[in-house]
Amino acid sequence: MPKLEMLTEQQRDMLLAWPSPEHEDSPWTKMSKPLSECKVALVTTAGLHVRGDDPFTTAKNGGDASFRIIPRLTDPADIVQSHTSIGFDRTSIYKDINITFPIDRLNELVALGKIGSLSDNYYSFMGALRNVTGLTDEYGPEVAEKLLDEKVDVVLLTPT
Amino acid sequence: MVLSRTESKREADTEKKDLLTELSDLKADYEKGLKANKGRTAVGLSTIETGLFHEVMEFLRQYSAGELEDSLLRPQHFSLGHFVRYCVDDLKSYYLESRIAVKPEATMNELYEWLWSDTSFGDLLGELADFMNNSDDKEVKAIAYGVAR
Repeated sequence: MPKLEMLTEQQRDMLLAWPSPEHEDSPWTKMSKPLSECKVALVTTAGLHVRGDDPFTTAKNGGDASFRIIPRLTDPADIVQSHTSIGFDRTSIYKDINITFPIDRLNELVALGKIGSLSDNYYSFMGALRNVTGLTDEYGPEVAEKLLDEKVDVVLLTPT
Repeated sequence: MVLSRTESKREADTEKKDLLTELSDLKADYEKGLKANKGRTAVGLSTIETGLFHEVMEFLRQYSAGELEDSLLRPQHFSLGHFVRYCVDDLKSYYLESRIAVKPEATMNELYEWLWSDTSFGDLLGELADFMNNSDDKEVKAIAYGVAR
């Protein structure tokens, strides 16, 4: 994410004027057990999906708020990125998918006993939405339900 | 922050090859990168195999010149605008992954500077963006912005 001073005046003004969501509370869930006993899931906003799945698209009003499921056992060679934003560096993920989507690192942490287990499915959204209502009202809660169904304790959120 | 084509373009270091020769010459580097990266690649959005990338490149060239309106390679569930974007994304990934394979220490800016300044594909993307930006199709026009960035 670039610092404000790195942006053009137009981009800076646009971001500073952007309406931020306001929440009445700040939900905080204290961990009830050590990480070594937790089931962890990976959720990204990097616009990743399994090769052959429908790519994220620019055609929807305010951005594509839908999500894709990436089964944990997917071969990383079959994960591609269709994020529509042109404002971030893709060369990092060309070099190593773990920079954005740390699947190998999570497996290693389980093997080391630092993490209890991993969920069967990971979830991917596309960030850079101009309209977040689809995310907050529909797809976000749907993914939260799926995570609860899988008895996930901890979610690791990763950006592009 | 990724530099756009206009922000990073400089004088070319060497004489550029024609598009199809340039693409052919990258094949060994791309495969080297693929091997080093355990088969991982960002190429694949268009669903077109890399063996057909010469046809994809030729389509983009003719499309940007106004000589061709569509491609037989386009899957029916992709609109023309999105198909062009996925082809561009695939070729950008192919070029940049090839470059990373031989210049693993290159910074993001050096990689994009190379793409925009030293390759004929970079020039094609500039022409393609200009062409799409003049389209009456709103979707094509919207996608044009990202083509040369």
